[in-house]
Amino acid sequence: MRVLISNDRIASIEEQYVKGTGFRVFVEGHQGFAYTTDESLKEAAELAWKLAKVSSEDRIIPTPEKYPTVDNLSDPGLENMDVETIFELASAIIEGAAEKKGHIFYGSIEVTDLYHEIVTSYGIHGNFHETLCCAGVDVEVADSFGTQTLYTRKYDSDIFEIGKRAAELASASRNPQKIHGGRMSVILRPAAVSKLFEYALVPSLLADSVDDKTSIFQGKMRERIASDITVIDNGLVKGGIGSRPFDGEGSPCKKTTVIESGFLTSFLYDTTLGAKYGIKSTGNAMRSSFRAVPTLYISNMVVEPGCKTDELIEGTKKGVIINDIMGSFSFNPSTEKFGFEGKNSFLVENGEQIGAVCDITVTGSIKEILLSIVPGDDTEQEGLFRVPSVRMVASVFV
Amino acid sequence: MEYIHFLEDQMKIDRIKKTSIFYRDSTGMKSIHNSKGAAIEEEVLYTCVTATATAKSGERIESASARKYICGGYEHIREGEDLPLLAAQRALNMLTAHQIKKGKYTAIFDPLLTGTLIHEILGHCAEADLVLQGTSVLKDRLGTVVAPEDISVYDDPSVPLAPVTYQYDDEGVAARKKPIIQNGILSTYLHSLDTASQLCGQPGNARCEDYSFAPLVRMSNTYVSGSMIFEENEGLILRGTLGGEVEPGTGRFFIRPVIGELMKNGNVIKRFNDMIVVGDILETLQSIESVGSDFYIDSGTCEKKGQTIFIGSGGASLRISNVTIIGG
Repeated sequence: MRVLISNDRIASIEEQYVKGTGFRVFVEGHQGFAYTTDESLKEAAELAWKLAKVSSEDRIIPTPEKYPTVDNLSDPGLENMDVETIFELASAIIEGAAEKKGHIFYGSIEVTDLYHEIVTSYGIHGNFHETLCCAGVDVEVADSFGTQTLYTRKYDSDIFEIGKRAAELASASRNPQKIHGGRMSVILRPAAVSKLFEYALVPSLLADSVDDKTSIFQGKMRERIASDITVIDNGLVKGGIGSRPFDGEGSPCKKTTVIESGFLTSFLYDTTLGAKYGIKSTGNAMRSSFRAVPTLYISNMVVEPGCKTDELIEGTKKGVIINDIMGSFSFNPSTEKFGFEGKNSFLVENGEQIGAVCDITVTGSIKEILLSIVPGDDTEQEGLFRVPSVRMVASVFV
Repeated sequence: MEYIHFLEDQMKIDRIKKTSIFYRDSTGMKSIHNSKGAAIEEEVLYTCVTATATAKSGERIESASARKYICGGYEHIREGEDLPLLAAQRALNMLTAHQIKKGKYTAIFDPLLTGTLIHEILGHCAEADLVLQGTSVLKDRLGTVVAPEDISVYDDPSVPLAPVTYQYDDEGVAARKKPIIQNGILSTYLHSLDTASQLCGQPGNARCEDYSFAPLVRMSNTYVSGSMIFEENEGLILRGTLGGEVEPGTGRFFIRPVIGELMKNGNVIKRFNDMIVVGDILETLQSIESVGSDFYIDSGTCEKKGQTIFIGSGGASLRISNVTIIGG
């Protein structure tokens, strides 16, 4: 169920009911795929079989294994969400923004209640139930803008607060000034960290990029690639947005440390690439729905917290704090360079946040910043990322 | 399968180490009925081809893609047979590209990059739902000059065999070509039935991903044309697009060309990569100096409020002054 907010009004409430079956058929190790949303199951399976016979990509089939128990994947408060409850939720968010003199020009709250089941002819069988709430609001306070998003599996007060938080950010971002650019400390808040890592870090940790030789960590296993940080892909986090007992192939999800105290310790594998490199699947064959085949991706990417985030700011002589970014898609794996625009950015001088700044473009090398990155402790769940703020050194252009 | 292998074979040239072809076609029937009297059945036919090539020289690896999506059948997409060579050549060109120095340049945007500028940066600001939200930099600017008088920008779903071709939008309104900017003046926003009733506009731009979503105001094929023609053989040409983003409320944008080429007397003397183009949309439109004699509508997808649809964008090349380019 989804509610859209526009200009402080509830613009629409939509409900979608989707049910379907996807068939992956293997003929001599070659995969064919088809799906159906009605009862034409035999036809879909036959089509998948025909496609398997003309496919040439070799796939390895996983063997059945016991699945772990993953807690808090669903919440009764989000199950079978009704119109009245989501209406009250949206109204509370609008009121929260208004309390802080904010005007929500766009917002959405989407609640999903899903049942998944996998069955194969080679002994795999599993199912689980999950609920998820994704909410986001764009708020304006006196011509200044702020955005907040929330991903949660719990129906609790956090959802009600996002209007207020977005208005507070918009209010703090008023009257931004231009500053002088240069090389300086850049503190990225969790929302910004997740967007940077999504493009500049995650692809290089997936085994298919290693297979392609496009990973920036090619040939770097067990070498130092970062400062003293630890990064874990953890499909078993209680209530994690990417958590589940099994992946899209039916392999059990796991906890895999990819970077330990700065050293590269693992890539992420599915069954086929795992077999090619002599590694057991790490349970990272992800599937967006029954309409898609599994592809390698992260479950929950967790950056372990470090020092207090307040200490990161207090220890910054000159720099900027950036709450969100645009343009992170522009990462170039060939040159390892990234660039992005900062949104809701603030100047820091001598350990204090001074005021809002505008028109900030940040560039740098992902490898260089990983070697100097310092994590804080204000961890938040941003989509599939559980990350704190981080401080790095980069070039800031204005 | 034979056709796909034929396309892939075209990319097997020296220094191209990996190739892939993505082919997809789909057919269906779109049916729209409403209480305003619309009773429409429209055949939907779609074909997509994307070619990707990876080039290697020493330790350096570069990848590039070329794509074509059309509302039409397989027999029309055979025009895309130069796509694999285009992808391969782009990847090879990127092997010799270097960082550009930050500065303000006069640059020529090729039609693909023009498409990103016109769709991502201008077009979204012209969507009436954003205007009504108060978050468009084009709010309250109808009838005002926003570009040089020789520049026009159209949204046109009636282009045959384009990435988007329809006779009726997803609210059952007849499709027609609309001038977003005509001779430099902001002439219309893009509307659904709802926004048109609020702003006295013309509907016809309501599209949805599929039947399970409510239609939103969306662009179709959005392109620029003009009459101040230049011949492109000198200067800095920015080619291809890796996408862009805009803050509609402020007009501040960020776009990424694939490659820059410095040309003299028709020859490439230097290539650049990792370029970031930033700026303000209204200032950039006013800085358009002239328009190329070429014309191309690029294929792409666009995501808005959780719905992803196909779009077309481009038109002619644009020569633009005072373009801020930052090297990565």
